[in-house]
Amino acid sequence: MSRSASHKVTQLLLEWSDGDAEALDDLMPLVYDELRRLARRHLRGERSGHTLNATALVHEAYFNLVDQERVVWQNRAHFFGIASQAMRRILLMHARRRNAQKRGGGQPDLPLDDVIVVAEAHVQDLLALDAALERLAAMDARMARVVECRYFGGLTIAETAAVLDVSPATVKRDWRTARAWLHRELSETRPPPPGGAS
Amino acid sequence: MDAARWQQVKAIFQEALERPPSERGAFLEDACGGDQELLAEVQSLLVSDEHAEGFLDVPALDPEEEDEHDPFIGMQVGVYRLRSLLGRGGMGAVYLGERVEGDFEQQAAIKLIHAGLRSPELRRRFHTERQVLARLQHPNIARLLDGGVTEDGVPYIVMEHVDGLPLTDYCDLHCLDTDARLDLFLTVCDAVRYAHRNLIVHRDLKPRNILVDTEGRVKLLDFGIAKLLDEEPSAEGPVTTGLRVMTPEYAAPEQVRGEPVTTATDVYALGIVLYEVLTGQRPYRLSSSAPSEIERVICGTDPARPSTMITRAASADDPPTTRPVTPEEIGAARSTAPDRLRRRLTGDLDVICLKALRKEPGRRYASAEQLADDLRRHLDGLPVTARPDTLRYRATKFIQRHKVGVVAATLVILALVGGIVATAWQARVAAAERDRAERRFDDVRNLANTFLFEFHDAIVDLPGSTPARELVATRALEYLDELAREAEDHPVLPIELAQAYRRVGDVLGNPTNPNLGHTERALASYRKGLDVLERATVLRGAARPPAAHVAKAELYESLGDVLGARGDLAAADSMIQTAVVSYQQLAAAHPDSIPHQVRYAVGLIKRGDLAGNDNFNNRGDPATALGAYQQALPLLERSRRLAPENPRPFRLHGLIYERLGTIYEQQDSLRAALAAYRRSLELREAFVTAYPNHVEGQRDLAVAYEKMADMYVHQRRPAEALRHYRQAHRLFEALLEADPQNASARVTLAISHLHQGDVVGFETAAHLGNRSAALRHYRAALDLLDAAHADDPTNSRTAWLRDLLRGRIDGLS
Repeated sequence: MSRSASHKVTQLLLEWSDGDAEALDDLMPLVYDELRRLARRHLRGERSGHTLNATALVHEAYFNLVDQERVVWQNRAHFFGIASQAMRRILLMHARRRNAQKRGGGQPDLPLDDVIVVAEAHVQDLLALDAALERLAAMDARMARVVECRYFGGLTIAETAAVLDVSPATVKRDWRTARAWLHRELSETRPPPPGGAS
Repeated sequence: MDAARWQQVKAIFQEALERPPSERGAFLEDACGGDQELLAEVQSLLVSDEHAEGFLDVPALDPEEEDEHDPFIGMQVGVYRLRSLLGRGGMGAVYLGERVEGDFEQQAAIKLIHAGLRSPELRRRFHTERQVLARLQHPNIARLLDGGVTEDGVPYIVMEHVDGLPLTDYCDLHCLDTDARLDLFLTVCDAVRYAHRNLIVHRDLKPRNILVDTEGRVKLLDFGIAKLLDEEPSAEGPVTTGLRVMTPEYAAPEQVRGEPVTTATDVYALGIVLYEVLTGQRPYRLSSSAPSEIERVICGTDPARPSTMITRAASADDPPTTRPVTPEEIGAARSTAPDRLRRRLTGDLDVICLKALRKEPGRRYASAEQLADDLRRHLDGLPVTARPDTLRYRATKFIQRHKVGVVAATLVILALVGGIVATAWQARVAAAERDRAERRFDDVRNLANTFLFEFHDAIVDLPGSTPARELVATRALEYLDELAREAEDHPVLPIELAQAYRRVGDVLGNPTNPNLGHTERALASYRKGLDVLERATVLRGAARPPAAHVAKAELYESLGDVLGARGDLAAADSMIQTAVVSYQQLAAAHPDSIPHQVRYAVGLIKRGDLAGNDNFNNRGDPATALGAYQQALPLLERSRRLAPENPRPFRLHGLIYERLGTIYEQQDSLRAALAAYRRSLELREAFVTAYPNHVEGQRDLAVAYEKMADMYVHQRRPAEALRHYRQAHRLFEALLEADPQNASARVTLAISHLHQGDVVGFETAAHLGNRSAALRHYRAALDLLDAAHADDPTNSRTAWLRDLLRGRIDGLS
């Protein structure tokens, strides 16, 4: 990542935390592109032997994009929050394309380097989860953000707490509640398992 | 469901989870209060919660195949159900387990020996680990919770689950600087020391076995190959197995060679961990895991000094990593630049690491404790025992040459400080012969610093202490001066020396503290201090420690104080500006450091005073003054919130309102001024109540009374004004009585007389019309100022006040 991109992201982060809401709009695509770039590079085997995981990608993007000399930890938390959202978008975009492909429509010429491997079985789950998460966000925006950070961003409880500026205990409670709620939602939309609880 | 309804559901659901399942039914009935829909919703969530175990636990992109085929997942072991794999080791796997009948936080790490690996040797080691853990109860060592054998005959151990990151990753993730890394590492040393005291050697210390949890707590794990030093030697497995189970990159030469393992083996591993924590790299690179290669590298090559590793470029052969690898990344992960980091490590930290990494166990630190002690000495700015021999040699020579002088001079100072230090000194004199000379060198330095910092600073606010302070500061200066000549390359002495010059200058003639009124000599002392810092080659360049920046900025600040008082406003302003710029940078770099925040705030206050505060010689720019004060206010408010027990921001909080009031008053915003002065008076009364012996606090309170009195003058209420001036006067008088040589106390009292004279009789103000009483006040004031002028004829403020008073007296008589 070039020095100027790092400079730009750092600057936008600082502006955003200074209250410039528009900086977020400019920030998101940069983070999104970097995450995709990293994911592709990992998958192409430039760093073979390394498993692709959300946590590592988000941290690596942070190291690449942000001039740590200039930011404080709150900016770092902001970045992780954005990166979690970006990861969600990346995965969802991929899942939608795969779904479209399978139905024979959409974009058949999916470029090879644009693929993030999501196990086939997970595509439907991911789309259902995303829809459920939207419904959760309508009732409880913070709880949905907790899921986004934990599941899509691979953030720990403590990191999530920093991103959302709440206590780790609150994140733990939200996380457990969200899981119970989402699990129920997703079980209800599927054919009920034999002898299932719901 | 709407958001309000959901909040209700959520609250009841979360509260239900906090209760044991047996009590939940009754709780729900009660909490839902007959709302069947609500009850059904919460119950359905509770049912779902039971099934949601592990749901979404593995982040979207993380590989999860491992879990799916693992027969242990879901199995019940003791009272725990295995939920997911935490990691695999040489002899088994560790799972995250959750108590079957549990509430929120009942997680544990459960270690099992894998099928096919259950050899007698492994069982024996497993047994040893259990024994070891049972013996260790330390906040920084993961606790043993339980242990046993499953129904299928698989031995297991249940340990405290640590949700954390390996030490190195934690440090990088949080971009911890070198000091913070050392603090964490010291905790590790403490845990290892504790294990050693219990006759246990860990033998496999590495970052992956040293986790830091989300609360920042260090936990040592995996005593899987630990050795009980009191165990029968015959129970030790064959030598060759040692090689197989150790981690080559962290193994000591004696482990590689299969020689006896002692606590020094752990010291070696700590050395590698320290090396890696500091530099982001390990000292050795193994090109293969062949025993011959391991032995060649570990036993046959010398590690490079840690500081030289920073600018070493990452090699293409290096294993892939997402950790920082380039010099810039390594520096950034430590919140610094590569060059600064290199300089930070050069010297003490280099030699400490290399001493821990010596090939011969006997030449390393004898224990984790000694390693920790040396790191603490380094952090405290004291010479470390591991420094190369040259300094010890020099110190020995110095003490041999000056033995009589040092002891005699020490006794002189001892007479000043009395018994406390004497006892400490004698204890030190009685210390072992070993390292005696070096210790003496340190003692003299410590003693000088004790006088300069602790003793001097302890008495600075005591009435009557001014001459004692001069003696103490001058004497300490002599010692440091002498030591500095003997150890020119010392990393800290020049800073201490510069601070000594500043204190001496302050006592001699800085109007911001009780002083002897010799401004010329004060200026000379500050300039000498700057000169010392300038000449100290060890402090040159980018690696200059924060203490050196502070010392330099403080000298500029003091120069500004004295030059301003002498009326050289342009020079004073440029000095203060220089100081403020430094303070601002330091405050930004250390946002949670109260001293740095306070220094910056004080710098701003002084800049404001000089710019346009009519209580000082100023450049007639009140708008700039107001800006500077307003910048200082939030810094002080924040510092008070961060450190409510710290008197310094407390006192300054009262002061800044007085300053703001002054500017408002100058700008004729009387309502704003009165509000600010009131606030200042409240804060200062509270301060004096909290710190009744604080001299400056009493002076502050007196000033606050004066300010209120001034406002009453403006409101043409001379009787109220006089009452407040008298309150102030009583306090000022007491202060001068307690410290009769204090030049600024004298001037202050003179001003108090001037104010009272104006109120009781001066024609131009609203007054009480008592000319003779006014005249008495003015004459008393002039007497005091004459005395002050005789002490220091160059002080322009004194001269200006004398002229003013002469005018008043002429006008009345």
